[in-house]
Amino acid sequence: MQREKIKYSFRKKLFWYIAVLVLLVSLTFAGLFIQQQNKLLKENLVNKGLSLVTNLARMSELAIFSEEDSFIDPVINGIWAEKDVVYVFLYKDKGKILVKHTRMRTTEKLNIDVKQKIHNTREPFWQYPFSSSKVWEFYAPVFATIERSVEDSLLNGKEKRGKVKGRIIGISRVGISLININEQQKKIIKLSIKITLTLLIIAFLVTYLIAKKITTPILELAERAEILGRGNFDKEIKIKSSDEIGLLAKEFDSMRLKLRKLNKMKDDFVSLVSHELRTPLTSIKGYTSILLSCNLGELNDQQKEKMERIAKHVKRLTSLITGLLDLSKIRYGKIDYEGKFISLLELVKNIVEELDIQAKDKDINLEIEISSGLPDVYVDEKLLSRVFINLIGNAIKFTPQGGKITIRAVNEADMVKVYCIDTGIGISPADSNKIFSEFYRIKNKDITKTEGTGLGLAIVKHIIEINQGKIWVESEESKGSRFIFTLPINKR
Amino acid sequence: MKKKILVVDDEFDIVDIVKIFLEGKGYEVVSAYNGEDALKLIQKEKPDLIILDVLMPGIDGFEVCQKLKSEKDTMFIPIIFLTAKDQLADKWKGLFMGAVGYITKPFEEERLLGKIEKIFEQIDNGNNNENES
Repeated sequence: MQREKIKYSFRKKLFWYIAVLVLLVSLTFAGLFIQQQNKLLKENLVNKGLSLVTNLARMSELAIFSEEDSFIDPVINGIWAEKDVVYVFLYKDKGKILVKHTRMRTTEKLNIDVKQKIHNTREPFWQYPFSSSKVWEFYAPVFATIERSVEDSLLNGKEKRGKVKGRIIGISRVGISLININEQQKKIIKLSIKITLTLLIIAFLVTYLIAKKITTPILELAERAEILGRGNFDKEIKIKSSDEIGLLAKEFDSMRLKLRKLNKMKDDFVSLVSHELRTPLTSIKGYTSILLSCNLGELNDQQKEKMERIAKHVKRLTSLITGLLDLSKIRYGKIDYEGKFISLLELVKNIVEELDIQAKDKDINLEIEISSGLPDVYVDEKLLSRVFINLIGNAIKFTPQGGKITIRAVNEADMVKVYCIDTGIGISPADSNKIFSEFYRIKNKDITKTEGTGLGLAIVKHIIEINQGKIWVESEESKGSRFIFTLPINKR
Repeated sequence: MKKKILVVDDEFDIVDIVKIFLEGKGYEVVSAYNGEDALKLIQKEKPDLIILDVLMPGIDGFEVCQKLKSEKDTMFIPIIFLTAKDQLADKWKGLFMGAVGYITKPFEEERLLGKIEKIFEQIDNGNNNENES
């Protein structure tokens, strides 16, 4: 089937719409997911750091008082077991380092601002030393919780310094590397990408399937419509689908049935009328020619002239009826197609020979321009002869005295292109679309005399279409017409 | 001697036209308006050629043709069908039954005459050849 190529198919369109939509949605969700996870990771890190550093501070009181770090060894070891902890410091209030564990280089001295802040807020806090720092730092104050200074009581045995409860006696400091969380972030991003891609692939597949499910019956329907358009009303349009397209197909099929019925009625009518008309016409024709042949006695000149007029009209009526019958036969495929390979040159030569007498009457020159090397075409010879007889006959009719008619055929790719060129009165653009319709006759004051049934070109068109060709006309008024048709060379 | 032609058609007009036309051309014409009459007349008149319609009440043209072709003394009478049945299949049917011509209505009298003359010419030539050999 010859279907026009669809440039932007519904399938493609739907596919791309959905693809873009899915991409946007999944990217948005992936972004949100990553952001959320980042936040969570950082919160976890801060919580962890703060709890570590606070815990250390709480356990460090005795060690600071005694300046004996072994008191807090278990705590330090516990912290140190965390792989992302890169350093742990414990400072006495004055800044003296009591405990120091590092996995990387860092400033060991307690920052004066930090000290200030701790003393002001008396609460643990965290910071990153500089913006691109890969390490976050956590600080917590170490409070004295016992009434009396251990130092004093141990050394002097007297309550010399008074209450020390609540005094900040040291600062704990823990650094935690972001490497771990960075790695986790990477993992999350990778996961998001994987999920996005999977979603996209699934979406594409689903879209493709949906689009296919939608377009397949539509394309099928289009194909059936095309068959219907060619005048084949017999093929049932059936699409198994309970949706709107199914409904459309159902309506379409009932339309087809109605069309078939109408068409059949028209056919029957035409063929009935034509047959019924033929019988009396045969009688009229027969009696006319008997009278004219003078078998029943001589007619006088006047009688003879009138009889000739009758004969002329009968002839026209006969060809009209024959044409109608032929047309309905050709159009509805009732013609007996006898295809074979024939030489166009031979065919055209024979026809031109036949029509030459008519042409000579008007002093018209008939020329054949067909190379003997032209490939044979597979056609029904009888039908194609009709095409040439009708086209050349028309050309002779509409070409004034002394004109010229050229029949040319050339090989073009996988087809033969045939031209019938005359120097006649031409056809106006408005008419050139309609001349292939049944009963269409050009309204022109010059040709009112010309006889015709208005069926010739319609028959020609149908014959060419039966032979899988195309026909059209190029013309300029009063400069002549070029009827062009194609015939495929392909083997069937 | 005048050649004798039988025209069979259920339509009076056709018989009338063909009769007048062929008599004008110098043939002897006998006529029948249905298949039964035609078969009887053939036995009696022994025509040299039969012009036969297909669609007739009673015995139709094809049956008449079949009967004639199956009998020894009538099988060589040439038959021309003259009918409104214009389907190619009918034409083939007629010709396969042994008819020498199949002309569709509306017909050109000249064409019918041409056909008839050609057939008689061939028969005469055949007879001459037989005599010679």
